[in-house]
Amino acid sequence: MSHLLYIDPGSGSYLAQAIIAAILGVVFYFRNILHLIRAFFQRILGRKDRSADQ
Amino acid sequence: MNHSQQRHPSSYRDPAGFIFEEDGVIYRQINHVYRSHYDHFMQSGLYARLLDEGLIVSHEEVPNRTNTEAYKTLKPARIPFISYPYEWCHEQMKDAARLTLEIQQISLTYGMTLKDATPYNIQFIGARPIFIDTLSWEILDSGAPWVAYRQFCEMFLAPLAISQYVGQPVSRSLRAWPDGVPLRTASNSLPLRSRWNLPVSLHIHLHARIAKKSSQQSTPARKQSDTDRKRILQSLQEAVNRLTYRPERSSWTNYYTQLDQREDYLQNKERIIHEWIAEIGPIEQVLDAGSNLGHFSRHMDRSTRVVAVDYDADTVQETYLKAKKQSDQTQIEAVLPLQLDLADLSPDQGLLNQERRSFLKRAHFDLVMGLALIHHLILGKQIPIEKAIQLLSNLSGQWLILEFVPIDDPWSKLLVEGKLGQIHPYDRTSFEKWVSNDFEICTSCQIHPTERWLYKLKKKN
Repeated sequence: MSHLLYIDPGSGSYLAQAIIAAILGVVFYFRNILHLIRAFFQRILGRKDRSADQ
Repeated sequence: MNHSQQRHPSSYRDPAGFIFEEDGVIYRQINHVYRSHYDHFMQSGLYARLLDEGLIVSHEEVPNRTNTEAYKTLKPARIPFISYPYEWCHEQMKDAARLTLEIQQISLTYGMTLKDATPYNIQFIGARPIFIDTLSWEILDSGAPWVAYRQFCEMFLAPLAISQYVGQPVSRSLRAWPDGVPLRTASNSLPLRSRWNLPVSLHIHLHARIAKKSSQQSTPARKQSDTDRKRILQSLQEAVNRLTYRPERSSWTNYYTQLDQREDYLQNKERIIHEWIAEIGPIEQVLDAGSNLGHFSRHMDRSTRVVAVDYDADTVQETYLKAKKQSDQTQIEAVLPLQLDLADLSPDQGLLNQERRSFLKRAHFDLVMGLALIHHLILGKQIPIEKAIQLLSNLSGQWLILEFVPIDDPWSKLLVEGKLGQIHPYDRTSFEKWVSNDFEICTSCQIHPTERWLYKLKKKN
């Protein structure tokens, strides 16, 4: 704990940023896929609704 | 620096420049070391863009008035009332965090980055947050991670997460931790369910674990790509947006709904106050002490600035949201709500106790309104009547509108319950006696149909 005092408290946790950015990369990748799937189903369901209307 | 110039005691950290005061006017000196950053900031169009979007305080360049270190001297627009993050509610803190991230996002597109991320760089004009530190930018070193990332997490994210999950107001966290809540402390005090919140889980819990393991590492581990930078910023924005504090309705937020049952009382009180404020004439700054939802702040002239303080976090939050809505509609930033306990005003804090000034030292109010307040101080907080009046007298520069609530009032009775025998003497005669020490009683009248009285008081010189 004591050596913590010797690093600048404002230092940006650089390693943490690198790791977190990598995790976010994966998260956003899957999120995009999820969005695509959702958009796909919405389009299909939307079409069904419209055809029902017709 | 000559005698009439006073370097501001809070302005010592950054070698890029400092704030000073001369003949009551605030200036900011920019030192030669910061020259290239400042020039980029002004010439790239970043300053103009931030100003245009109303995110940053405006300034004008004036001739240098100090030593040879000075590259430029700026005169920033005046902030009507300086408040500190340990006086803000959850939503104010959230808006300050959003502002910081929005500014960082815009700055990146102009090849600049914020070198610090602290709520002390932000002030409120009414209910609108505004960035005040012109020295916070530096030219972006491409590939460098965000130097203020950790500070942002400790100063903004941790207090907000603790407020949402633990219920401790952000004001309390920041009064206890002026440099932000250490990540480990934050991570340990948050409940398990906070880990289901992905951004909190990453930026606080995981961040704390990595920081603990790699505490000796202060140089960049690897270059940060633009995409990574955007992802982190986007995720921080998501974190802030998701930390929504939903107050359980406190007894105070319902106060006026309950008061509606006493319609005559409220109408009469409003009429009297309206008349008195008109008689007092134009004034600059008003303190609404124990403001509840800021109901009476609305009677002020449009040019009057009201600081509405209350000790109940939920009430302040609601007043803030209301004031924000109102200023969005009318473009007038009149009411600044703050969370403050009148029996424990913010003290002098920081380096040499001069860095952050106490509330009393910042209080230059032309009028103080204490409506349905004094019985809370005397009966609720058990403050002797003379001390309660001394408090209001110290806050007021000239006028005081005070409501006297007698001891047999139904609301006083609630406060006294179980305390009989322990309360200080409290009656209208001794009230008038103590008030007359500092004030001249201009007018007083009963608020029918209750036994409550209103006093218009003017300070004796």
